[in-house]
Amino acid sequence: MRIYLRIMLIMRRKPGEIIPIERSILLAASRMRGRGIEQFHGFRIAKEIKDQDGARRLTAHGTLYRALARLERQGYLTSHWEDPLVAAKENRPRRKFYTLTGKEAGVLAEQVDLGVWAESSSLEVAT
Amino acid sequence: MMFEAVCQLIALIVRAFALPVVRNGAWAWTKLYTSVAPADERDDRRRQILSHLADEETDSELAGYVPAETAVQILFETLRGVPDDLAWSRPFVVPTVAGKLTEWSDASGGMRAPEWLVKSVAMLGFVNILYWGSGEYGAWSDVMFVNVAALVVLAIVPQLDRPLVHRAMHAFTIVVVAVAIVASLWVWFAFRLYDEPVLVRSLSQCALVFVPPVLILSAHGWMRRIEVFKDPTWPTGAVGAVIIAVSLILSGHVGLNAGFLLAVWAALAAGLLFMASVLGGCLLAAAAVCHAGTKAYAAGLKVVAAGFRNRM
Repeated sequence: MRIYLRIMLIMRRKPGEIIPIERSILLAASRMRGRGIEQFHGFRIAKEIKDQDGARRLTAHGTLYRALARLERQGYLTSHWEDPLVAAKENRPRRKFYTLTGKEAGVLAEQVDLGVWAESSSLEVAT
Repeated sequence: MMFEAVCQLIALIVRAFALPVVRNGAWAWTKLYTSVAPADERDDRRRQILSHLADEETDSELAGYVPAETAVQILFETLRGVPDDLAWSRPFVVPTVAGKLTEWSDASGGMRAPEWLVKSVAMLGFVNILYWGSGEYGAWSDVMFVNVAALVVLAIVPQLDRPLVHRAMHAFTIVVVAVAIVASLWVWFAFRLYDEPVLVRSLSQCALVFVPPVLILSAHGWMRRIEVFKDPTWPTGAVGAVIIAVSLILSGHVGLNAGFLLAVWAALAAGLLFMASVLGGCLLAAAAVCHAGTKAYAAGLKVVAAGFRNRM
């Protein structure tokens, strides 16, 4: 038990490695881009992940936005805030849009090679 | 009939208020955990969550969900995200608390908060020991009063003449430590013929009062340096805490009150460092200012007093 606790404490992610939630985000974004949707906001990607993974509920806010921030830091995504006029016109708060940078292709392909995803993901990676 | 009506009323209320309550709760939580972050990161995260909640509500409405269902959805999302929210805010917490504490400390005459608390503890201990030494064993209510008065004086006096009080407090601490050493030696000398671990017992009680100031002063030193692991006073403090703990256990005087104090100070020395010093300081201040806290503190020393009285 003590050994496992120690391992958990010192455990660090390998450079370039992505965790499941980040994989899901990249895959969902990649899938959306395949459908011609170049940019997405938090709720949109949460819905996409829910459909993709067949989950009952949306990803938690905290988990989702933290993962998005990490991916942005790692260079997989870029972000910008929506024009305030557009949001005002639709009478809702401004959204923060994310766009894939293209760096994700290598990671997704690598994951497919490793057999992390089955046939469902290969199409999106190819696009 | 009546029961059904009540149930329907409750259902109606839940349906009407569940969503606003949950939405506001999620928003309040967001404001809370983001409050520690710098303004740009805080606003960024808040706007994203606000937008997310609005989008989710609109989407659920369009999908034909009733507000109560949306409320449950938002509630679960918020709750499941709490660990990540906390993890997100963690890097901001320590610098923010440090900044607040420094601000507060600067505002209170340049004496840093832990140092101020050290003096309070030392003063409380000193007053208690004076009463204990004078044989007023039965008048603990007076001690409580004196404790509170000492705290009030400590709170007011630094505002009158800051540099002088600062120096006086340093001198006071040195005198108190000297008194503790002399008192311990005297107790050892007086009880040398008895087959009891009197020295250990007296030292452990003195340590309970006087070592915490040393530990907090170490924290004070650490706060100045920031780079905690480069400060050699912390390992010393940790060793000190272990010695106190062992001596208390050996002497058989670890009661609830002593245990409480010991736990706080041991946590200080054991590596929780800054957060523990803040927590310990808050706990200690609350315990000292409140009547109940004062009573607990006095009761801890009363145990020792009773122990010595039985041998006199």
